[in-house]
Amino acid sequence: MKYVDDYRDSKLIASLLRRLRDLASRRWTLMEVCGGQTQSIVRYGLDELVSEQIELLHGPGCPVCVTPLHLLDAACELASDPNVLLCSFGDMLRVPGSSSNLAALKSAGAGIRVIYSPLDAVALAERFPTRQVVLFAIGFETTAPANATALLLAHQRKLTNFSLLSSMVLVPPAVAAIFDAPHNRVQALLGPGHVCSVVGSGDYERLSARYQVPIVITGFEPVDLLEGMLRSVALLETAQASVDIQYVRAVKAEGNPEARRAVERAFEVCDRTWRGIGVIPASGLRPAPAFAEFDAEKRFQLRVLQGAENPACISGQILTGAKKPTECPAFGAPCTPEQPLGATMVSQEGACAAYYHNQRKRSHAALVANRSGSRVSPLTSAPETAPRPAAPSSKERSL
Amino acid sequence: MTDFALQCPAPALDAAGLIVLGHGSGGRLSHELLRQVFLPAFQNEELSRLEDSARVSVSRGEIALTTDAFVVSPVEFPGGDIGKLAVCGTVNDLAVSGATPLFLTASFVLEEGLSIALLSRIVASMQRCCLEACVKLVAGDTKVVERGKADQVFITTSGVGVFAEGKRLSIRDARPGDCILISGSVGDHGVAILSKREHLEFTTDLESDCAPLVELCRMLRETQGLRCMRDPTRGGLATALHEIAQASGVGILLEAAAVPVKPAVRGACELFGFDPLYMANEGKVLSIIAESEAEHAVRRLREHPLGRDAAIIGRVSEEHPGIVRARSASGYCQELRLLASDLLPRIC
Amino acid sequence: MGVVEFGAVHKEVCLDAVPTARIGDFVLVHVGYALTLLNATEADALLALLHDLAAEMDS
Repeated sequence: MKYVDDYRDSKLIASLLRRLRDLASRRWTLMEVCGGQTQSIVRYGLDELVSEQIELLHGPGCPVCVTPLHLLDAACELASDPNVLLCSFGDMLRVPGSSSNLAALKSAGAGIRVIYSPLDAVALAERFPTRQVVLFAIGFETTAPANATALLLAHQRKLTNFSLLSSMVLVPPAVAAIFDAPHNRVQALLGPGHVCSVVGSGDYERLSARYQVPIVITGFEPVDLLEGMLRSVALLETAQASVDIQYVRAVKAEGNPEARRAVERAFEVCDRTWRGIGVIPASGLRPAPAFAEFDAEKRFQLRVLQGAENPACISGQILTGAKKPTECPAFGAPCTPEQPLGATMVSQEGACAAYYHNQRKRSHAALVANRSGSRVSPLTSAPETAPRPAAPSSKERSL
Repeated sequence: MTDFALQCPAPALDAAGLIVLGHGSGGRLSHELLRQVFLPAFQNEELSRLEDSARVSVSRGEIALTTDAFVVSPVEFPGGDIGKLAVCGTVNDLAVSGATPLFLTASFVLEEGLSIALLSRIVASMQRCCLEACVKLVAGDTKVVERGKADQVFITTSGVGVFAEGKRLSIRDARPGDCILISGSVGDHGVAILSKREHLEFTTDLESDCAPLVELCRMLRETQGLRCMRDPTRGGLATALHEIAQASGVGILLEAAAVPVKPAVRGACELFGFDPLYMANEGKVLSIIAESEAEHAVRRLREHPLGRDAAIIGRVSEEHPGIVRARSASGYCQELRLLASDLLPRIC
Repeated sequence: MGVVEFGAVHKEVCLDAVPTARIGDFVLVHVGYALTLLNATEADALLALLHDLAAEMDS
């Protein structure tokens, strides 16, 4: 595939690793923000391949992982209503709530549909006019435009049986919270490429200036990630706290105004609880007052239940980069993707699941060295359930 | 009574051409269904006797015996249908264990309201596949359940095969240094089914690879140094390799770049976040062969239409016993674990 | 809505955010929604640079 294979080229990977070794005068600490980046880094073993030059901390950018327990419990409660059809991305289904999870409810007969796109939920609302269709709208700035379009479409079609249970979150406030934390060790940030294709680089310019941290807005393939790391190290070595865009094929400084317009019209900024982290002010999105009728929390007058987390789960420390999954006493036993204690062990983009599925033994980490000329890997993604969208590129055709 | 019914002029099965509960009653409608749908399709002496069990002859020695249930949705899909799958699945289980498949039985659970035309297509497809695989379907049964209690049609097939003289194959026999062979591209069946799933719908020319592997397995059996064969169905290549690594107590290192994957399979997996190595196959044979014979085996497989894309895709190693790893473009060897849960329900 | 090709697979995708998209353009798709057009010039230039640097290191 165009713009995918090119960025998995083993020769380029080898050359970037050599350049990184030549450039780094010391070991630097970087954080990648996005769960898709974490997944790719662990899959290709990049954290091990660069371990002498860079310590990689994994950030809070897995939308499934940060969805707060009370909203997951609310989703479970809604799904248990025989009048409701709850639409969710597949990764969300096995995330443990306080007393159950969506997958178990689905097995017991609850109306839960796994969707590929938020727009599918609108189609379902039209097809089942007697059911209340609730879109479990999770995601960062990347998913917000599709969620916004679903809401605006439902509004335009005057659907009275469609609403969103919003757990949408924003990256910059979470990054600021991590930078503000007393034990913050992050020296440079690999910025979230897909998020910035929508919002542009402005927020990241401000973050970089305020915290004097270099930020390189980076893509998702191994060549992107290594180049993002190389550029970060170049900025660190020359003590420049500026923003650089590695993911130039998708990110413009101004982002995509069309996509942003849909989000600004449909949603408003609100405070949001991040699972494992706590409340971060102005870090979420919910339906704007003009579309309050599409807000499931209002429509169903959901009680805010404060469920209890499993005390053995340290996902908050994982999500803020304070600890690595392998530093958790529960990692691998008893916490596994089959019996997860927390969300980070469920989602494909969760750091714990990524570590578990790619169980690394340092002696395995074959070095790229002399391997060249082979076709790029057909490996594409973690062996997990259900649709995780995000094809990095594609060729468009007319209808 | 039975003879009389069989000699009657054929009445319409029922007005709408649909299966009704009476078709499973054992009475007149059951006989009509047998006579009009099943017997004409599977014409053979053993079945036509309509005894309570078929009487068949096999050579002396051990037989191979297997059974498998098929519940695929949708029942007709690009490149096949549940009938073809039900024959291939059982035939292939016999073939990869080193046996020559001879006889099948089939049990049908039909949902009330199933179109008899659809059932006839499925049965015709089974018979075509039986001919291709040189097996006879010699016994069967039909039950009908109320609408909503099944999804159109479920089929269970059982099969008997015989072993030729010579060594027995076992997935415990992989040895360090052996080569891993696959007879063609992986993930075709899984993605073909996925393309018809509600809400995931996408368009592609890709067809399921569903096919009987009798001849490919025979060719491999003639290869010196063959350790074992597997058909990587549910759970795909990664899962089948995992079973071999565990049973033989060896490590397996896959060269990810060497595994044949069709563009449509890659595209769909990128789109939905699946891994082709875990996608189901219904017409591929995975084999472990001594290094010295592996190239020869690939050349032989490539002579057969079903083995055109055969390739050596990895090695058995002494290190990391019980573990399957795949080398990616970065040179990093990623462990391929078993799936936490099924990728897709009802793919076979 | 428009049809986007992923490898040899076609899927309907919402093109609201990429009004200037023309047949043959590349788009970045997430959950059935095209987030942005891909800039082929930038992509090719960056790849060419990376390949040049790799070749330089080999020689």
